[in-house]
Amino acid sequence: MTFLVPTALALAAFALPITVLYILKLRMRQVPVSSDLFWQQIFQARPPRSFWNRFRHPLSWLAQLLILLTIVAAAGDPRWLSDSPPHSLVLIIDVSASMQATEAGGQRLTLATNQAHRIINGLPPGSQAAVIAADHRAEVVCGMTDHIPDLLRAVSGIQPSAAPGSPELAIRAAAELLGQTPAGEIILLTDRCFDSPGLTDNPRLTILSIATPRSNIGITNCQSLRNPDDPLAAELLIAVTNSSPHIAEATLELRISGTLSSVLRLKLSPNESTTRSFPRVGPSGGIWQAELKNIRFSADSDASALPQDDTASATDALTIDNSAVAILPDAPRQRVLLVSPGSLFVQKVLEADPLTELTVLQQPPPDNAWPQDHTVVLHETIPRQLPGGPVIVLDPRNDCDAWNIRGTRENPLPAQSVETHPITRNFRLDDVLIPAASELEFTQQPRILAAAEDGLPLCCLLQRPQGQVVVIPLHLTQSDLAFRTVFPILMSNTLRWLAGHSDPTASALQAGQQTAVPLPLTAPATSIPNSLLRSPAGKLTRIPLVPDTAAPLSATALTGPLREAGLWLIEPNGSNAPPNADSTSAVPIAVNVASSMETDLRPRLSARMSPESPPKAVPAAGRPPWFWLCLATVLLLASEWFLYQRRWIT
Amino acid sequence: MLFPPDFLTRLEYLSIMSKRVFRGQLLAQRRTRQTGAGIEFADHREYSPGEDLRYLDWNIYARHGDLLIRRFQEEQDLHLWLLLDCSNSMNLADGRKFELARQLAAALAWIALADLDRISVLACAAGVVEQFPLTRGRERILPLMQFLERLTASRPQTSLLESVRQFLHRRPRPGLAVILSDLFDTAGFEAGLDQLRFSGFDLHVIQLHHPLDADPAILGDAELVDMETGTILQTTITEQMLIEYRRLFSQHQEAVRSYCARYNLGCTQSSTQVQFDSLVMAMMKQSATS
Repeated sequence: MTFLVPTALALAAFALPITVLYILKLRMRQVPVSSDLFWQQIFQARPPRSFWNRFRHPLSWLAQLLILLTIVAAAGDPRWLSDSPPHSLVLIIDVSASMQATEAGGQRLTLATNQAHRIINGLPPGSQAAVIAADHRAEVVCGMTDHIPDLLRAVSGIQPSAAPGSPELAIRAAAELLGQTPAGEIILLTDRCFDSPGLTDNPRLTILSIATPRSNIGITNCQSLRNPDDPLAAELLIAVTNSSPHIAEATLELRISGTLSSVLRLKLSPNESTTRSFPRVGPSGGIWQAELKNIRFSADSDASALPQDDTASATDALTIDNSAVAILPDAPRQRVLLVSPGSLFVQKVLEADPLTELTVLQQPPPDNAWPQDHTVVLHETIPRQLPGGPVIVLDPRNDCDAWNIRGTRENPLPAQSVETHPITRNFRLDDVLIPAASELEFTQQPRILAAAEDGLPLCCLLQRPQGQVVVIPLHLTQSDLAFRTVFPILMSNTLRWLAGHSDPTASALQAGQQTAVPLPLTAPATSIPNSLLRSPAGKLTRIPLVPDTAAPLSATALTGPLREAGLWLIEPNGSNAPPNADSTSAVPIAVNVASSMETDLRPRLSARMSPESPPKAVPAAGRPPWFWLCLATVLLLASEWFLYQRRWIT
Repeated sequence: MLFPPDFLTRLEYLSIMSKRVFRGQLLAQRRTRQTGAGIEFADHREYSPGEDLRYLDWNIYARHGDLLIRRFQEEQDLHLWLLLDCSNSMNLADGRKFELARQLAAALAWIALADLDRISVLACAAGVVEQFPLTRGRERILPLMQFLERLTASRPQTSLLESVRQFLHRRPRPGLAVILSDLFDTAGFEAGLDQLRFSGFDLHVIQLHHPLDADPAILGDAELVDMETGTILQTTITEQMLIEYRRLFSQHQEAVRSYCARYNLGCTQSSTQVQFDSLVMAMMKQSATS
């Protein structure tokens, strides 16, 4: 045994005053009695103490010295002597979703942290260690240090994640932490439920497995989507996977905004996945919640061939993948004012959109009295000053405050389009006949979403303080664009985007992802520095907002990685009140485990060391010496108290 | 305050109560066995020449011709001797034991004086250290109270035998002797009481003890200081020693009770937690029923 704080041993000098005080003792308290008549009779059988009899109970004195000795030894921070020299160690603890599965001894993550405690407590003196929590990302929760309490605290503070596991990044970070240290070692505490065959080639890596194969059934995908062609139609897609060698039966319950919508009985063969879709019609959206209940595993004809699991004891070992959420945005009706000298195709395309309430004018309204809550579609005839609010301009033939027409370009060849933008998603002009297009000179630089080979904008976006303007300068009367399927898609995309309901990808995220959420604000973004984010467990975090330069009343919140599965909520307007699901202003984010890799709880990676054989760093005592010393102090204190009372005298 | 302002009022109440309870049986109006000048007829005896002819029973002489002298029972006032323990042991803790003893002495003296008896108070420790002389009459209560107030329990040791010897050397007239003490006498209390008993005194023992006498409530290391001798005992007191102490104390109390019962003596044992008038009332009721 050695001491990390040997100077604390100087406290042993207190033994001298303890002994002196014990011998000399402070003046005993005097108790007057009426007569010592009865005491004398008692002392005839038992003589009273004399000066030299002060050591009549030397055990008490010895106990006091031993108490001092144990306290001094504990203050010296002793360590067990180890054969191994001091070395550097990086502990990687897998915190992925599958680590929340239950084993016979408890949750996998708890087993891993307990093992990490034992390893840290058994480190040879002078060793350094670091702790990394790993899912598909790596988080260094404690850097290289030789301070054992910090390391233990860091391990205890590790939180589980619902994200998928992939420790390559963590191993790279561990290698960087170790640098060129020759005695460096990386220990990965994991359930081995991931596919990384290259890991075992790392000579510095030791994989400690704390998992056994477990049966599990879970939701591996959950997404909702509105039909781009029919915004009133929506679908929820749910994939369920049975990751066990048994037949799994479960009830899938589907709720929409808390109301039970559908119940489906599932029976899955071993290792089978099934995908179900649930349609819904209507403009209103909501939060879809899917949950697997009444899960039961039964024997399969081939189950006897699988010796690793017992059907009788097979239970659903992971619960966080039994539920999933998805968000279906509302599809509100949109008022559109079409100003056109007469184009049946444009009018019919707009009328065909079920969410559109169309008003048609042949000329702009007198005195520029544009309605406030309408999206204005201008065809050919453009007023000198564009109206405020969202505007779609089709085939402009005259100048206005935003551009001047420089001429007409013959047969422009469509060459590029921004496929990631919501307006031009699923939009290609390759096969569209475009005999002519107006060449516009914009007063401000537009954002080009589709352009011809020579750079002529065929679809562009003007960002004004008064509202967005989408300009499509094709000559519609000469082009066959109006006859193509792409035209209603383009118009639908543009109308949805201008209305702010254009992002269908945000229905559900996989845990661990980051996301940028557009937020509608009630005040300018510059006056709201941050928003409040509430996790499914209720933890509140402030997240910064990125103002949208084009739209003062909108901003983007950058959140993530969202490691907890469930429904996250953002209160966008800087309120101090925590957001809740009933709030109209709260923006929900659905996060699911949604990973077949995490649902499968059967270890796949080979471990270098079996869980039964403890690592060399763990001492036989299992706990640090100070623990035993403190325990001894408590026992000695109890003994001394007993001796002080002298109750043992008969 | 030893004698509070209402002390005399409470004494008067006790005096009235004593008359109602005892009807002359306890202290006052005791008749001696001697015959002599009295009012109540006792018996007859033969006339001897020279005797006072006023006591000749002329009726018997007329009827039978016998000369008989009428004898009357002689009435004598009672002598009450109060032997008050003034040793240091009476001063334990708050001194309540000595205070109660003096209050009891004053109360008993008042009752006796009210019945025209004679009383005397003797302060005793290793011997008789002070005496309030024999006196009678209610008006003597105030000097008696002043005497009692002056007394202090600061004498070094208790010796009941020596105190009784010194008392008897003064050749007191026999009467009722009341012992007010804790009876913590290392030589034993029996010898002293025996001496009084043999000298023809009626005895009443009032044994007082402080709660700390019965249960010292000491644990651990302590120096026990004997208040009378000043002897110091350094010891470590255990629960078992306390149990033994309580047993010895109870044994001592029982010994006093047994002694008094054996010789038909009055015995009152009390803690200092009771008031003196309650204790006197209890004594009177006990005497009335015995």
